[in-house]
This record gives sequence, structure tokens and C-alpha cells, in this order.
Amino acid sequence: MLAANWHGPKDIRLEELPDPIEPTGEDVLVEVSWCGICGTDLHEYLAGPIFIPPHVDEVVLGHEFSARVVAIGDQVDSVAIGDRVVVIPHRVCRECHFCRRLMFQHCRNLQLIGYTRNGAFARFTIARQDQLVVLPAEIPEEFGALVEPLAVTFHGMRQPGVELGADITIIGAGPIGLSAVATAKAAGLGRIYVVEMLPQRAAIARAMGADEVLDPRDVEPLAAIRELTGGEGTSVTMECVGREETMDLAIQAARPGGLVLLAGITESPSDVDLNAAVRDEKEIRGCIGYFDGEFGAVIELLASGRLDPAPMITHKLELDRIVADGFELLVRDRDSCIKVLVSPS
Amino acid sequence: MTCTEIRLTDAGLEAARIEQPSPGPGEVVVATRAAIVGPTDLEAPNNRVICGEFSGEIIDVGPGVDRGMIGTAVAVLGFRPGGTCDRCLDGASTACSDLQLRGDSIDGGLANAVLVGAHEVLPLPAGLGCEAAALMHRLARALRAIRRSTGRPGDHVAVLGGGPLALATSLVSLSAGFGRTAFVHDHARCRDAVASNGARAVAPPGNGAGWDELRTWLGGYGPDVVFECGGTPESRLAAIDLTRPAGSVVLVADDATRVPMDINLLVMGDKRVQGARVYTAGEARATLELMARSRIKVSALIGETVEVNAFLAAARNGSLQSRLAGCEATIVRWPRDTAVGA
Ligand SMILES: [Zn+2]
Ligand SMILES: [Zn+2]
Ligand SMILES: [Zn+2]
Repeated sequence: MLAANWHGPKDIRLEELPDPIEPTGEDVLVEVSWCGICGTDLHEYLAGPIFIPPHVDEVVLGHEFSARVVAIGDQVDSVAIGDRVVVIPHRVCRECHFCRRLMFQHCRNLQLIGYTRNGAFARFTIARQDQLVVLPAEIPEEFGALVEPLAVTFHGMRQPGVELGADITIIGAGPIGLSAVATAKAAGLGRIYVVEMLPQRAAIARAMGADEVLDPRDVEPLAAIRELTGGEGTSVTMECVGREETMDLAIQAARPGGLVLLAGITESPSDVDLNAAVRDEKEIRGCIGYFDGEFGAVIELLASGRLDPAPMITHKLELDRIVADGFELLVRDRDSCIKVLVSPS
Repeated sequence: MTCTEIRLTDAGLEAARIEQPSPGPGEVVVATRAAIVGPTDLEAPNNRVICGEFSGEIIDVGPGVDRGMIGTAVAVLGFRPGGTCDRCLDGASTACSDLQLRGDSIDGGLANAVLVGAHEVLPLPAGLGCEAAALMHRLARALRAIRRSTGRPGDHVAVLGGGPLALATSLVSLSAGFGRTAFVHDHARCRDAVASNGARAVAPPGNGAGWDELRTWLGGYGPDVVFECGGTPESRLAAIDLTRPAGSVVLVADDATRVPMDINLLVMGDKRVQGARVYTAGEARATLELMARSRIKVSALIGETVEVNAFLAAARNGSLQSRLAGCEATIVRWPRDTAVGA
């Protein structure tokens, strides 16, 4: 099968790899329908290995995907051949300290499709049955590939302190920022403010439900948010960029007693003002990953039409164009390129 | 009737005679019987009556206040919310944008006639004296930190950092039904006091192996909650690092200077940082109840007790500063009918 195989920074090769062997036990062989290029895939392409373990010489990337079941192991009882599925990239050990406490995202023996195991930029990949969530017929498979990034921000919207009707500031309108807009709207938040300077991203944020998009080149975002909220700041802020200045903005733009969700990863140590936690009782929370059950919840919201991620899909390609028209496009054109979906089949 | 209040001026602490204030509607006059003096009181703004932590006896009430309250022993909230900001109107005045702290942004309680609102005083439960009750403010801050945290009975916790709040938080945490409690603190005397009440008390580990050992003892991957009381950048970083994945850090201390730190520890570790500054009246009441029932071991928090005239003498002869250094509280007693500065 054709696969996009990572060998090192700037070295993703389109290679013919052997098809995976027939699945055994609880394993399931799936044929990939659509797989999105994630921001972390781009980081692996430009500067990896980051999430790829250092001892791994080569691995097929791709972890945001929908697929069809083509073969099952002898102990599989939750899916059948032909099912359309979304795959949770975490393959947990089910035995460690954290797994026994149902905190699967902190599994000490975590394996990740697309980082530690071959991923979905290939025609076939293997998952265990507990990684599969069935996709109802009414949801297009393109949307299935967006369930993973939507689950990241949906996890944020389920945190205590994010309340019905509350206002939110979302900093950055890249894939995670736009997922935050969509999930905030679906979760019943009130006014949604977005800080973004790139014009097409700003336009998509508006199309997806942002009430106001602030361009930091036109206005001082903190002053603008305070003015829009009667001087207080918003109840929730979510940082989706991963820079020191925007983390500080997220903390400052939250009202006293508010919640700050940090979804961006910084590239270097950052001087972030935690004093606001004491002074103004703001809560500052890391927001990464999701619970398995949140995949199902996102799928329900997609099925009911309350979550519409369509404007995020800006490009669709065949696998053989993934480097030149996928990764390189994301480097070249950050503004117009949000989510690139790749079809390997 | 003339009264006395003790203000910090350019010339040092001065006892000034005042007319006893007459309370307006909804106000009471408290004669302070016990007040806590710490190093920050000697850094108060000029001409401020010092001491944010005090308790006393109601000696007069204004219109609309039950006259039966006269003679009641009370603790006084150590702060005053503005009452008009959105947070206050939401009933969340602990996060008030215009919060004033007694002995700092408004006058404190080292006086034998202090004018406060009737809603700012809390009658002491039976069995609790004024000296212990003066500790309510720091203990209620600790109680709020614990209530706001994700920590539940049975969880493992650690209290990090130096200072009076560290001592207070560790003692309150020992009444919360937590599993294992570790107290990481510089002073041997404070460690002994907390260890004798059931925590494991250790000096800050000098190396990674020492922290790992502590992490292992606290449930394998670190404590569920770390209460960070030191307020130094190093202590904050250690707290975020020590807490387990998806655990929480509660900052109980006041502002720390900013320093570059790896905020990814927080994001990648799925951890949270919360903070507590003051407390609600209900939390103050709950604290007083726990104190009255000896569920919080107050004695470990009290260092020296000094009578008000001896305190003023020490301030004049320059021996005061060194006596305020430790984590235990220095309590100034102001017995009824004491002639001050005479
Ligand atoms: Zn595990
Ligand atoms: Zn207020
Ligand atoms: Zn000490």
C-alpha cells in the first residue's frame, strides 16, 4: 500500500509498504477514508521528532481519521466488517495506575496511532476495537476525520466553570481555535470573541459562529475585550496559539473568578503570570486530550447538526500529493489553509 | 470616651488617642482583644492602623443593629469587598475587583475601638477565645483553598513553601480527611509541629531523587493536589512539577515575581492552577467551628503572646522586627481597661 512515511524532519517519503497482516485478538483492520493533517503532524514534518519517540526511525503519520472496517480479529465483538468508524488514536494498556482509575489519557504505556504505531496516511491501519466509534450513516466521512480535533476543544467546553450562556474569548483561529468556536457554540456558550489577525481565518471564525473577531493590528485585544464586557473580561478564555504573549492575554482577558484554558503548546519556557490565580481567583487549566466518551458525544452533536465543522475543511487531496500540496501548503499559506483532508484510498 | 489606636507612621508605631467613634446604621464598634502582628504590618502604608487579623468584643452598635450584640466576642473579616462590581453583584465577592485588605488598603484592628459593619463580624462559637480567634483569617484562607481545590477525602496532598500560610494550610488540610499529607518546609520547628499532627514533614529536597521519593510516597505519581504557599517562582514550579498528571495546584500565597517556566508542564500534564486570596463569611464561620471543636490544632500556630504595652515598648526599642520572623503568629493581647502608652 502507498503510505506517507516519516523518516525525519522535512523527510516524509511516499513509499510502498506491505499491507498490514490479518488482525488477531481484539485488533481490527481498517481502510482509511479521510485523514486530516494536524498541527502536530506539521511540527513533526518541520522539526520532528516531537511526539514521535526518539528511538523510532520511521513511522506513518496520521491520527485524525475516519475509516471502514475491512477485517476483524477473533475476539472483536463491538464492530463488524463494513462499519464506518472514527478511530481514537490512543491505545491504552488498561492495566497501569491511570488506566485502573479510568484516566486513560494518562496511561503510562500509551501507544498512539500516527506517532508510535503506523497511522492513517496509508490505505490501511490497525486499531483495537475499543479505539473505534461507529459513525452514523448521516455523518459524512469527511466530518468523521474532524471528530478528533473537535474532541480536544469539546473536552475544554466540558470543564467545570464553562457554563451555559457564559461568554468566551478564543485566541487564535487555526484548526483548534475554530474547533473551539464550533464546540463553544454547540455547548451553549453565549458571546464568542475571537482574536485573530489573518483575514481568511477571521472570516471562517465568523462563519462558524464568532460574534466578534478582533484583529490585534487594529485594536489592542485586551482593551477591546474589556470594553465589550463592561470592563470585566470574559468568563472563559481559551488559548489556541501556544505563545507567551497569547497565554498572558488569555489570563488577562478572563474576568475575575474566570477560567483560563490553555490548549496551545509553547516551543520554549514561557513567563506566564500565575499571580492572577490568587489575585483574581482565576483558574488556569491545561487543556489537552480528551476522554474516550467525548468522541461519541461529538458524533452525536454532528449527527444532530448542532456542530457544523464544514467551513474548516479548506482542502481535500489524494495521498500522493500530501507533501507538496499538503504539508508544504500549510507552511506556505497559513491563512487560507485550515484543515487539509487526505484520502489514501 | 477616649480610645487608642496604633498607627504606623514615618516615626514608627504610634499610639494615638481618639474619641470612640459612634456607629452609623448597620455598624458596630469592636474593642480589639487580640491582634496578630507580622512583618508585613511594619510595611503598611503611612498612617495606617495596622493588623488585618484581629478579634474582640462589641462595645457599641448603630441604628438597626440588635443591642443584644453588645458584649459579644467576635472575629472580624480581614477584608472588605467593594460591593458594586459585577463579581460582588454575582455574590462572588472573594474575586471582587475593588477588594480592600484591612491593615493595608484600609485601617486594621490594632485599636480598642474599631468601626466595622455588623455583617463583617462573626460571633465566636462557645469555647473559642479571642486569642485563638484572631487566627481565623489565615485559617479561613486555607479552608477556602482546600474547598476550591479538587482534593476530596482520601486524596493525597502536599503543602509546599515557607511562611505562616504554609503552616496554617497544612494544619487545616489535616482536618480535611485527606489520605497522605506531606509538608515540605524549611523550618524544623514548623515541621515538628505539623508532623506531630499527622503529616509527613520534610525539608525541601535538594535534588530530583528527593522529589521522586516524595512523589512515590504520595500515591506513586505525585499528590492529587499541591497547596503552594511559598509564593516564590521556584516553589510554584516545584508545585506544578510535583502534582500528578491531571492534578491541581492551589496557590495560597500572595504575588510572586514572574520567571520563565515551562508552562507546558501544565498543558501537557493536563494540570490546573487555582488560587485563593480571601474567603466568604460562610467559610469564616466554618473555620471558627472547626477551631472551636479543636479539629484544627490552633496551638501549633501561636508563637509569642505579648501584651499591648510591652509590644509598643519592643517597637520603640527596636527589638520587635526580629521577634516577628517565624511562621507562628505573634499575638498582641489588649485586655479590657488597659491604659495604652501611659
Ligand atoms: Zn495504562
Ligand atoms: Zn466588588
Ligand atoms: Zn516555618
